Formats: sequence, structure tokens, C-alpha cells
Amino acid sequence: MTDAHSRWTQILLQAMFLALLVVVLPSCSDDPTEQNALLFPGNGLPTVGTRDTTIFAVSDTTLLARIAMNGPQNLVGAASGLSSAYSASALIRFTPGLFPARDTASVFSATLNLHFVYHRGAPGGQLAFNIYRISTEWDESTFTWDSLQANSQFYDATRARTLNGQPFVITLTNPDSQTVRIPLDTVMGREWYQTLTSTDVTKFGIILVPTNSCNVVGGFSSFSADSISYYPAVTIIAGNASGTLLDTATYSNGFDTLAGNVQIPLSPATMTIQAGMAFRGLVRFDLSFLARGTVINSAEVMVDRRTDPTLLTTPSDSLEVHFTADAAGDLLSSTSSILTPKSGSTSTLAGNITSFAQLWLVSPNYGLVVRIPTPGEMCTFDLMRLYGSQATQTALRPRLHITYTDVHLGKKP
Amino acid sequence: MRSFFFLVLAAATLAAPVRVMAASGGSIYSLLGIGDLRPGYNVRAAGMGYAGSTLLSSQYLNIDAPATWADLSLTRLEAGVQYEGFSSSNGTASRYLASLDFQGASIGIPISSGRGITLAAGIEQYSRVNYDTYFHGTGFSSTDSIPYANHFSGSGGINIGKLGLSYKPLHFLAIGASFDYYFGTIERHQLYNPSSSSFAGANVIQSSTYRGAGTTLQVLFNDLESIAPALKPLTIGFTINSRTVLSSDNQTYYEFGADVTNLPTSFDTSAQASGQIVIPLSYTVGASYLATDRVLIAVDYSTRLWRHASVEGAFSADLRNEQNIGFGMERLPNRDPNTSWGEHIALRLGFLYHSTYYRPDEVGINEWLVTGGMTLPLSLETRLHIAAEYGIRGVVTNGLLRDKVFRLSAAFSIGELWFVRPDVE
Repeated sequence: MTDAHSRWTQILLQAMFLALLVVVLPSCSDDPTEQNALLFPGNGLPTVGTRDTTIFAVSDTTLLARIAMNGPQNLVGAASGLSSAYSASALIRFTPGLFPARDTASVFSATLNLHFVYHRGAPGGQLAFNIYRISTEWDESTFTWDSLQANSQFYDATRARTLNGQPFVITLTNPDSQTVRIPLDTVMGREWYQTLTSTDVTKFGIILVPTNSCNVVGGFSSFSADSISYYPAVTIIAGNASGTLLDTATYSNGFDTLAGNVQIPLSPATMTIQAGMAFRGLVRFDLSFLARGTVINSAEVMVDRRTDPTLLTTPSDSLEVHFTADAAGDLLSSTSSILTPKSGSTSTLAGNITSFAQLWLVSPNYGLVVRIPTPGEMCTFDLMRLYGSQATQTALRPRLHITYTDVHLGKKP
Repeated sequence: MRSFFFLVLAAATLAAPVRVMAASGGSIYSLLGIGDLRPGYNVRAAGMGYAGSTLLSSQYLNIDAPATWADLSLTRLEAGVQYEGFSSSNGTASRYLASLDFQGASIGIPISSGRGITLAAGIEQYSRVNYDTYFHGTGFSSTDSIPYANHFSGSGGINIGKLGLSYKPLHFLAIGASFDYYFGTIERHQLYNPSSSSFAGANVIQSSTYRGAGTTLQVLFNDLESIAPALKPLTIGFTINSRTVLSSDNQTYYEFGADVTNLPTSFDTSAQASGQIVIPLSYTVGASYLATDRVLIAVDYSTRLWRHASVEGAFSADLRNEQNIGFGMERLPNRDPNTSWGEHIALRLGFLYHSTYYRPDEVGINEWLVTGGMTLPLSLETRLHIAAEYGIRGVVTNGLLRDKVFRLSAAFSIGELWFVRPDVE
């Protein structure tokens, strides 16, 4: 073996030995686990201290939130109860591209089919509304009651579009599941079959507006319902001028919404949660007494319902709460918590808002927004009234029970 | 060229897995102060009980002893790693945690061999925090009991970057000085984890970033034949490291949530706070004696005055003055190229008594080490230094812990004629 060969052999062996050490030695080590953990006194590590408390809301507000109503049902009608008045108009637009271009066809009948699934108001009351042609473009995702009020030319109120030109009136005998057929002015059908549009021929849809004699609110399935067979539909019978060749077609695709409003007295001692137009609650709890870095182990919010009923009081026993990132309560967290009846109480609704309470310690605290759970807020007139932060019954005011832990006891972070 | 290639290959082999394997945990005592203080990464000194402050040599580069650079004849590069393991016990339970870590690197460039002027620079660890432990407890509110586990872990440390010069104005006097820049980050984690998913917890991370500057001065006396012939093989030295104030930026990060290890639901960051840590004055007195042409004996005494140091403006009762007494012997390699390869290997043995700066619960933690090492010549000027240490520190009385310490260090050293001007005849 030459000197050079011997030298390179030594180098190679040494490199291999080192590489082996590098790979093997670090693996000869336990993993630090809870079971083999060691500690000594006087280590200076921080201890923790846990406490809990119940605090009451420092303020609450009833917010008016004009949101687009795009739920599984649309409301039409008017009702009143307990010094309040409710009104809703429904908008329906069948997709223009569905209709064939038949400029010369004769329309012999056009029937609007609606499937009612919701009812509020006096038992046996009368549902009465006019149907008008909408004159302006509109978008279901942005249309609200304010949109309707802002444009007096939104629909053509000079001519009702029922067949006889009179309001449609019905008493809903089975309001939870009843299909209603409304004969429309055949001119509407002819307009929908036209190729071109003009100020007299539009395809912006129709609006159902309650009359003064209406004293119930009905809700019919929308184009967002879970069953296609319940969608609003229009059936048109058309043919040649002599009527010797007829065809019947049904169209059930489009978009719709409702524009609702409530006139309801608001009280500082009451938080009003109203769907359909909507009223929401904004309630604030003051957690400034907690130091930065405090861990919120759990937080339960509790609210109490007022038991005085109204015609529109919801039979539901749940509410939805969100963390809000602005003082107006417009920016809501994507996650929410549901308040449900608290065990052992007939009027208290409670829910876990641990993550929201923790956020109040690390970001501006604008409070909690309370609303009727979706989709009900967008397609019902459900009402829930709660004891507010200024209620005379102090024990029923909105309250928050928190369990929290200081993880820096004995040591500054 | 071949040496350079080998150094690169070796560095890649060692460095690549370092970051992956350096996180298993270390001694629990490193949660005190600024962690375990490192004795320097000079592997030759490690094999001799860390008694290396007075070892003048043309073959070795000790970045912590600037006067010893005066005898360098070639540009020398060194880089090292260390495997460190702690078998910790409280008298009942025990565990073994180990990690592999980059120790440091340095370069020395002789500018004028005749006057012993050498420029050197390097980087090394000054302290290391590496602990991982748990504490269990139960929190009580008026309505609930909340069992929890607190997982404490720490990592990071303080490093030093050094840049200095040596000078040998007289044949028996060498002086050296270096500018030392301290820097580093220490992170301390606390994972507060309630046992029940009904309660949320938090992960708290305290991060402190340090920086500051100091100096090292060293004076060596050797070749004292003019005083007495018997003193010719003797070298004595004195080294002082200045008191240094490190400014710190401290910040705490919070992660809150029901499952903080997976999806924290909210975060918070504290305001950044400034602070100070005072690295105290330290000094070393050492001596070495060339008993025969191949046997070298060395002894060092050093102390760091931590009892006068302050951490974030307060004196810590958990710290005390640190002291080291090291003794070592070395069989020098045979310079005759005609001898066998084994004769070219340097062998070392040493002992160290280390009174650490830890003083938990008013009980000082002391360490005893036996060390050994060797230097393997890989080529004409390429060497592999290896050192092994084994020792014990701490006691199991008063609830304290005893660590059995095992360390294995390795460093590559190459010498090249880079930047060295040949003497003009």
C-alpha cells in the first residue's frame, strides 16, 4: 500500500467514523415527555392561578340592519300586533332567457303558482295583495326595504297585473303547506315572450304588494327552497291567434327577494331581535379588569326572554351571536355561537362564547351581535324580545360567566 | 486544495443534520440565568480539562486566547460541533437527553510571523438554553376544577463574534486583544393546556434578543530563559474579559384556543420592552510547561463574577460567582515525517472542577469532569481534533437534580498559505 493510498484510506475511515457519530449519537436520546419530566425547587418558572366571575352587560343597543333577504322563503302581506305594524312585499323575476322568443304568439292564460309555508297574523285572517310590473333593474343580493323606498318609479302602480285587475285575496286554510294559483294578466305573458324590451315591455319581474285590507303575513317558498317543486312558477298557455294550436309551458327558474319593514316601539330596557328587516341586538361586556395575557378558559353568555307575547313572537328558542369588529355591528365574525335554553330555566338562553371573550382581550371590544338564527332572519318575521342591560329585574339582564387563568403568577412576562 | 475540499465535505456532513438533531433537550438547570455557559469551543483545550489559555502554537487556533495567535505560521481555519448529553436524575426518576450543535468557527491569518501579528476572527457559543419539562396542577374556580399540564421549554442562547489581533513585541512577551460582539435570542415557551376540552388554554412565547460589545485582553510570558534556564519551557498568562452590558428587546407572544397546539383561535403580542443583562467581568490565570519535547502540562484558573451581574435590572438570587480549575496534559505529535502515522497523533488527558453559576434554592451546583482528546493528522496541515468529556454535576438532595454529563466534540482544522507573504530574503 503506497503512502498516498494509506493516507486516503485513513481520511476515508475517519470521515466515515465521524458521519456515523453524527447519525448515531443524537438518536441515543430519550424524548422529553410528561412522564419523564424533571424539575427542581427554586426554578423560577411561573405558576398559574384560576378564578371565575359573572359580570353584567354594560350596555345594549337594538340595531337596525337593512340586509338583503335571500332566504328559502319570501314574505308578502301585512300584520299588526302589540302596537306594531309589519309589512312585506315580495319580488319575483323569472329568468328572461327561459322564455322563447314568440313575438306573434297569443297568450291565453298565465298563472302564477306559489307554495306557502309560513304564516303570521290573526288566525283566519285575510292575505290580500296587488301584483305590479317592476320597471327597473334590481339585484336580489343587494335589494332592501330602503331600495324600494328610494325609487318611487320602481314598479308601475297604475295597473294591477292580476287577470281581473283586482287585488288577489285568499284565506290560507293550510298556511304551512298550501299551493296558491294566481291568474295573471295575459299581457304579462305576452311581454315575457317578446324579443325586445321597451318602457312598455320589460322583463324585470313582478312585485307583490299587500293591500290595506291585508292582516296576515304569508311566506311562500323561494328559488332557494330545498325542493324544486316548491319554487315559484308561471304556467303560460299560448298558441296561434285562432286558438287551434295551443301549448302549455311552465317556467320555474329565476331569483327573488322580499322587502320588509316593522314599526315597533323600542324600549331601553328591552333588546328587540326581529327577523325580516331586521333588528339585531348589540350587547357589550367590559373585560378591562383582566390583565393582558389572561387566558379565558370558558365564557358563557346568558340572556332572558320576555314572556309577554306578540302575534309575531317566534316559537323558536334559539338565538345566534357573533363577535363584531366595528362599533356599528356591521362586521360580523364568520363563526357564530348558538344560544339555546339553559338547563333548569324556562326563560334563559345560554351559549359558549369563549373564543369571542378571548378576542375582546386582544382586540377592540365592540361587543356581541345577537340575531335571529339564519336563515330565519332573512325569510320570517320572527320576533324575540330580551331583557336589556337597563332592565329593572337586574338578575335577568344579559350576563357573562367567565373562568379565567393568569399564567404569569410570580413572574413578569 | 485537497484540504479545502475535505473541509467543505466534512462541514457539509456535520452541518447538514445539526439543525434537525439539536432539539432533543438538555439540562433543566439551563432555565436559570442565560443558560449553560459554554467554556469555549477549542477542542484541544477541551481534551485537557479546558486548560488551554496559555498554549502557544503554530498549529492550533484558540479564538478565546488572542495572545496565543502570535505563533501562527499559516492561515488556519477551524470549525467544530459538539454532541452533548445529560442523564438527569432526581434520585427516583431519570432521563437522558442529548443534542448535537454547531460550536463555532474561526480563522486566523498571520500578517507578520516575525512580529507575531495575526488577525483572527471567529464565532462561538457563549451560553445555551435547552430545557424541556412539565408541571401538572389543578386550577379551581367556584364551579369547576381544571386539571392542566404546563409544558415549559426553552431554546436559543447568546453567541460571540470575535475579531482581534496579536502582537509579539519581545521574544518572551505576546499580547492579544479582541473585540467581542455578543448577540443572540433566547425563547421560553409555556404551553398551558387544560386536560378537558371544555376549557381553552394558551401557548405563551417569551422572546428576548440580546446584543452588546465587550473586549478580551491577554498577556502571555514565555521563553523566560533570561530569568532562569528552568523557566524556558514555562508559559504564564493572564486573560481578562470585560464587563459587558447587553441590551435586550423582550416581547411576549400569545396563542389562545381550545387546542393551542393545532389551531389557535386568537393571538396577542405584548408591547416590546427593553431591558439589560450585565455580563460580568471574568479573568483567567494560566500556566503551561513543556516538561519534555513531547509532554506538555497546563493548568488554568478562571472566574466569572456573576454574583455582581444583573438580569433585567435585578440581581438574581439563583446565580453566584462561577469558577473553573482545569488541569491537563498533552503528548505532542512527533514532527519527524519518517515516523509512523500513529506517532503524529496528539493525545490529551485532563480534569476540570467547575463551580457553576447556578444556585437554585440557595444550593450551588458544582461539576466534576474528566476529559480526553486527540488530534489526528489528515494531511500535511489538516487535522481533526476530537475530545470527550464525562462528569457529574448537581446533587439529588433538597429536591435538586444530578446531571451526568457526556460531551463529544470534534473540529476540523486546516492550514493554508493563503494571504501569507513569504519572507523576502
